[in-house]
Amino acid sequence: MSDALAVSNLSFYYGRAQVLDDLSFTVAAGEIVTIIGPNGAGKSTLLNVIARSHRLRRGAVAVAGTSTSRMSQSQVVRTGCSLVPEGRQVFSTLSVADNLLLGGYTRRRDNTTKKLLREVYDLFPRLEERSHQLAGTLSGGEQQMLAVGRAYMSQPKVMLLDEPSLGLSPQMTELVMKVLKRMRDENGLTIVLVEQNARAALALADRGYLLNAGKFVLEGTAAALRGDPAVKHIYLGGASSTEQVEGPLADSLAAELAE
Amino acid sequence: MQSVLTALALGALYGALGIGFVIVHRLTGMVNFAMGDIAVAGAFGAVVASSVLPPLAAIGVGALTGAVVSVLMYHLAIHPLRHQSLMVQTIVTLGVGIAIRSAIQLIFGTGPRQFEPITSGSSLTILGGSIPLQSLWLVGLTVVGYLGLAFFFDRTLSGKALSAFSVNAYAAGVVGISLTVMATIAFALSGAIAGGVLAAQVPTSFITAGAGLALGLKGFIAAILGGFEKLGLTLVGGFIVALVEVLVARNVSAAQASTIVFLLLIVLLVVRPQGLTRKVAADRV
Repeated sequence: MSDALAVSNLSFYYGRAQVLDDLSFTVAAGEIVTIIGPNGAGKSTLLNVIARSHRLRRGAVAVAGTSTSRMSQSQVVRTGCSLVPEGRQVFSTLSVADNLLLGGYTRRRDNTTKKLLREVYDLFPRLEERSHQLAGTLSGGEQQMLAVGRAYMSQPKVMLLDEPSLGLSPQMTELVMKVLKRMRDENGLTIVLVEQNARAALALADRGYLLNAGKFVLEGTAAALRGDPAVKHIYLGGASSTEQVEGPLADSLAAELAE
Repeated sequence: MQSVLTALALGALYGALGIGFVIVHRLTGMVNFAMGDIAVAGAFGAVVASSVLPPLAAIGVGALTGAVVSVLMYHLAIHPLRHQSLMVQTIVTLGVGIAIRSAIQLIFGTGPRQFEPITSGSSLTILGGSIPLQSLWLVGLTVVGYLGLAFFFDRTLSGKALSAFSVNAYAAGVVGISLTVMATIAFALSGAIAGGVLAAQVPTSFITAGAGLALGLKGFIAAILGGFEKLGLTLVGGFIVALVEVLVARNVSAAQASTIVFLLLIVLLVVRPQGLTRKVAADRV
């Protein structure tokens, strides 16, 4: 079992409305996989079920070979699967440092807090400058950094990110994406990235899935998805000319990834 | 001056009960109307323990009893209803309060109980007013309890986790903080401070099985004055409630003191629901 994350036959309903329909996929250790798709496709729901913010009723999930299907939310975090939720969801009235410390709540007996805090501050120097500030006073980009850092504090094997680029400037998006890549390259972190910003996501990811109405309608390497006419048409700005598809952000990230 | 000193001890009691309300409300969003009866259960625990233990240790047993009853209440009555609305949970606390009160009456009867004060000897005289030494213990215990709680919430990871839960419950779940564990801690702390402080008051007056409802409501007013948020302001609120009660009892009518305090509660809820705090918590119960 080298899969960092294995999801099999997962279905989810809100009341009677089916949101996820028999989804199965695996993510190898150290892989970055993105799930793109339109609003309401079920992307956020999928991550929340894997992280157990929503109950898992049908299907199975395993993290690094350990079944998490019967686990509580905190046990899932302890097993090594952390969610960076949509809209960042920082503890706004607590300080940046406290937010990070609480991220390590499930590791509080491991004595690794100081080391992890140092690593987060190295990844995001801005957070160290603002460590005593209340999280609610940070800018959107800084809050996103904090949300990623908070998840990192639990020493995850798999990090699930729900639309980290939402509401961020292109520069800030690029910065967050770079850090994600760095966490994968340096720590072997496995990343599942849900994005509306397909361009940025596909520039970073190794593989991708296109989710629509609760089903995977397309899957493949990031390069293949970038070249797919349907994906191009719908998610990369409806452009056929390569000029527009390859935006400045995608270019710079592609260059980064090529190194 | 005498009124102020009497109100100081009574206010510490109401403040402690108010803190009990605030701790549970901050975490769960519900109002625990069984608070007063939990405190009475603690006081009776101390009465029982006082037959074999010295008074200070008996008060410790009182705090422990309050904590245990409070935690049992959470796991038996509230936890099974955690997916229900806050209104349902709050109404259930009223029922639990009646159940606790009835159980105490069955075991101990309706008569008053008392035990020996910690420090024997007469009262201390300050600026022309006198305060029983036991009341000083009560005030001291409340202050120690308050400082301990303030330290817990500001400095320890578990305390911060409790605060985190009240700031953003969804995110607290996401980082792996369990509501069940946090609620158990919150109910234990609230039961302990209310039970312990009420137990400390028993030697200066006495305790009856039915005292819980009125005590709880006065603690509730203190909690409202503290905005159902701030522990320190809740203590101040407790003192204000007690001062009003003592002044009315002295200058108007002892029999009407409680009535006037509760009238004040209604006026307060209408005129200043945010209590002594500046902001209105509009979405709270």
